[in-house]
Amino acid sequence: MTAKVVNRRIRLLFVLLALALAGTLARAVWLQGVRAAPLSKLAATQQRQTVELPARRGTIFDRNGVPLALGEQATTVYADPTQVSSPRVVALAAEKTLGLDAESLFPKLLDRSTSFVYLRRKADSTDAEALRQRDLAGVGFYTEERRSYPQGAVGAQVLGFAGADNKGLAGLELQLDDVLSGTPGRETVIRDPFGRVVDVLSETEERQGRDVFLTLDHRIQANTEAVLRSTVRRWGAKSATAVVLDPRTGGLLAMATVPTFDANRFAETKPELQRNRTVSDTYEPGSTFKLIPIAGALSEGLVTPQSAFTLATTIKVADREISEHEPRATVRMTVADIVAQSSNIGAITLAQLLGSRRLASWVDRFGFGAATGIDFPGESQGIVLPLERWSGSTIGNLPIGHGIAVTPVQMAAAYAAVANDGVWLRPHLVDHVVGGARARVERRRILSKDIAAQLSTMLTGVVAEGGTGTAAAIPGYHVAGKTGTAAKPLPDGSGYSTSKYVASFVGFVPASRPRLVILVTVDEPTTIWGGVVAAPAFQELARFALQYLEVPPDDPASAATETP
Amino acid sequence: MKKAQLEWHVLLLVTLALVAFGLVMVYSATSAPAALGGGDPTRYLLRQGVYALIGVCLLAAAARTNYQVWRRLAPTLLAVTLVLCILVLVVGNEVNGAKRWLSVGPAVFQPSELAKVALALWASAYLARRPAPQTVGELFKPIGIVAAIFSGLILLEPDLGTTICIAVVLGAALLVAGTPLKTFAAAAGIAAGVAVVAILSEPYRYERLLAFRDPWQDAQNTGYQPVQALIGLGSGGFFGKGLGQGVQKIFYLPEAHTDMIFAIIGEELGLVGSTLVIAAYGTFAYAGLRVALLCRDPFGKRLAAALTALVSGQAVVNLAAVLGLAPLTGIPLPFLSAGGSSLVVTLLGVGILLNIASGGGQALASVSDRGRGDRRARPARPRSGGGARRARGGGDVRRVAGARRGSARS
Repeated sequence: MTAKVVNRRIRLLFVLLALALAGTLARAVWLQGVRAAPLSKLAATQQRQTVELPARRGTIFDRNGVPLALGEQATTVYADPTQVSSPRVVALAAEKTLGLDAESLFPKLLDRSTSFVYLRRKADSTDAEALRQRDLAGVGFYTEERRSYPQGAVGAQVLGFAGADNKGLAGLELQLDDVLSGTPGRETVIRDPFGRVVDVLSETEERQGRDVFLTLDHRIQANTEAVLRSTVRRWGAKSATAVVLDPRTGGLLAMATVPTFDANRFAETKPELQRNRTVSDTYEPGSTFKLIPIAGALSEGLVTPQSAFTLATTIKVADREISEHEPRATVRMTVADIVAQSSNIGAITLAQLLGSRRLASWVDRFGFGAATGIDFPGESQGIVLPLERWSGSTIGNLPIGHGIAVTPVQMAAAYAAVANDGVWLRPHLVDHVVGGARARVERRRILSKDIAAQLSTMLTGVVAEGGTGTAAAIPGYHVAGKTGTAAKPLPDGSGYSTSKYVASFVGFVPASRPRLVILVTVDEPTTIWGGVVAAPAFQELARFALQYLEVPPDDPASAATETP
Repeated sequence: MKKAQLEWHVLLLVTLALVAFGLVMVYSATSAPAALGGGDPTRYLLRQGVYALIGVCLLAAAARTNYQVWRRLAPTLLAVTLVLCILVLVVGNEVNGAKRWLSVGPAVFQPSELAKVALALWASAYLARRPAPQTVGELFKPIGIVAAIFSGLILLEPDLGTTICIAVVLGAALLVAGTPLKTFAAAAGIAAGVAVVAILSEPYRYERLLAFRDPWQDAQNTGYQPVQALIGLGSGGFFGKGLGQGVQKIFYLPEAHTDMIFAIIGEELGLVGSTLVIAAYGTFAYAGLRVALLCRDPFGKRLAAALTALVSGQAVVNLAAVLGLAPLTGIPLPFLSAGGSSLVVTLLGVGILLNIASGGGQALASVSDRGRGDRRARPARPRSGGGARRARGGGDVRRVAGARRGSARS
């Protein structure tokens, strides 16, 4: 073969190689130029992952720094059915370690259409560890924060709960969710095909939730619940509530609703038990409401505590005739007597003196019919008939606490205003958020200091000899308070029950320099009288709290008389 | 003394640049996964470095050895290679179900890689001695038979990629030798038929072929590797993610450091890097074939073309597979892919090519031409110039070496 032909063939070979290389170059331009964007997206899809870095949920402490609600390390256990080699073994192991039902778990593990099944969310870490030890294929673990309420039932309705995704769903957990939950961080990582993190591309750090200190005291709260429980038991009542607050600050020391339940099982509890009834439920207050017309009449300068009235055996208001709780003869009573003996006719007489318009304004002034603005979700504003809808008999019902519905917190706040020299303070549960300033408490003077003092003195008469609330007396302390015994309205609105009552007592102690305002309501006790049912509970609560808070006695003489 | 001085320099430069770049890319592709797996990140780099060193030494030696030596050695070398190829099937190390490697102490050696060069040498020598085969029958005897024996043995390992390389090299030699295009096409058809049979006989090859047609259809299984290669290349974009910044090498792309190294180059250095690599093989092809053109000796001409095809042709087959233009067959990218035997043998081939470029065997070639009575190549000599210098005694290897030493001393 001639060299000429060979050289031509060499050139041909070069052309072939050059064409082939040009082809690869064209393809490279296509892939890396034209198709770069969609292929990069595919690369990012498989390589990158944005992970949420959960923010720790803040702890709720009581006023002494005892944790009431806190985040705990828990382990979530899941399975990937496509990776599970033996569904039977996994189901049985899960039953043994996590207490799951193998029967119901088994079909889930067989379903290979999904690659993720929760075995147990937020399982106990030690249980999960026991399962991990078995080293089963297709079973995975990751840590999550579980909300835990170490005090158990204490303050269960107040604390509420945070759901599986650590979101506040009820109570303070809901109210304070923004503060407690913080902001989760985000992290974009590069992972290898086995899910191992190779590199961190970008990271926004999580902002941890903030801790909250409450005004609640877990000991007073626990004692309050215990006392209410025994009261309910003793009097065969349906339920009971109590509010303990510090009149100087408006801060709530305890807020109890009985029956209680374990806060760790909030979600499984019946909804009617979940309510913090001191805020969300109303009751007709009965005689404890007499404070309002009397305070109005005193403030308007219509009467003094010594003003005397001749009171008939009954009083007729429009179409109604109202009598006392217990029949009596016509008597002459001072305003102080009316308070001490809880005279219906006296209260109505004073209210008539005040007139509808002014009575209505005093009801408003004490904060009834409006939410107190307490830092708790779902507050009821109560039911107060607006003046224009009053009937002729309203002036006969309202002064004695009928035809009006209030929340325990509203009533406690009203008495706290009297105890606080006439200044109403907004009741509140949160003392401060860690790292934040103590919020200013809304205050409103509703009574002059003098009138508040006069009312206080008259209220001590209730507990003193001859009053309706003697059972509330505490040796060594002057106690001011008022009993309440109110028939419950019938559900159909036709009138009042003759057998179902709410017995209540609200008062403050020491009367000279009040440190505690305590309200107790007992729903449907077998014995109806507030002075019999609620006053002793008040006394028990107050005694404990006074001792616990080391409040010095203001009436050492009475202590001496009791212990001879 | 150099006949194709420019080409000589270009070939050496491109080769060394690619080898050096290969070391960088092998390190890039292997260090991260090794480190993640708790291994030594420099393991592959060191191993490849040792092979590169051996290869470059062989290159230097071959460049200084008159290439005519290979003409005489070719039949022996072929026979030895044949024995090794049989031996590997008997005592070879089995890796991933393939028996391709022979252990010699700490080193492992792939006889099929040697077969590429041995066949290139033998076929070039044969075709230089005889006129080009005119019919398929002539082509088949003996080149086709030898090729078939080697292909059969290598397919038994199994190693389709190397078989295809052998076909490319032999094809280049036959083409350059002047085989009529009709005969060449018929032979290529037969080879393609054999390839089809080879593909259909192995289910995994058939799957790969299907995966090549539409890798996205089964991107998790059979299409996984081609799809991951495309993702790597595409995500590199124009400028790439930066050297060492690729992610696909971290267990996403199988064989990232060997057959798939071009995907990593594309991912990390972008279209710019891909273009430079392709251009390097183009340059090599141009320079190598220029050497073939300039060479007067029929053996040198055919051998230069075959060796050039060994490098650039093999690169085309590899690039086409990585870029998704051809099915995956398991061919390393010359100089760049990790793999000792391929690197050493290819560098040896380049060494021989360099020697052809330097015209080391001109006198011997003319002697052998004279012996065959083929004088046609000789009148062409003056055209290239420098004939007088060559006439002064370029033919003697020892004297050439001596003259070089002398010039170095002065």
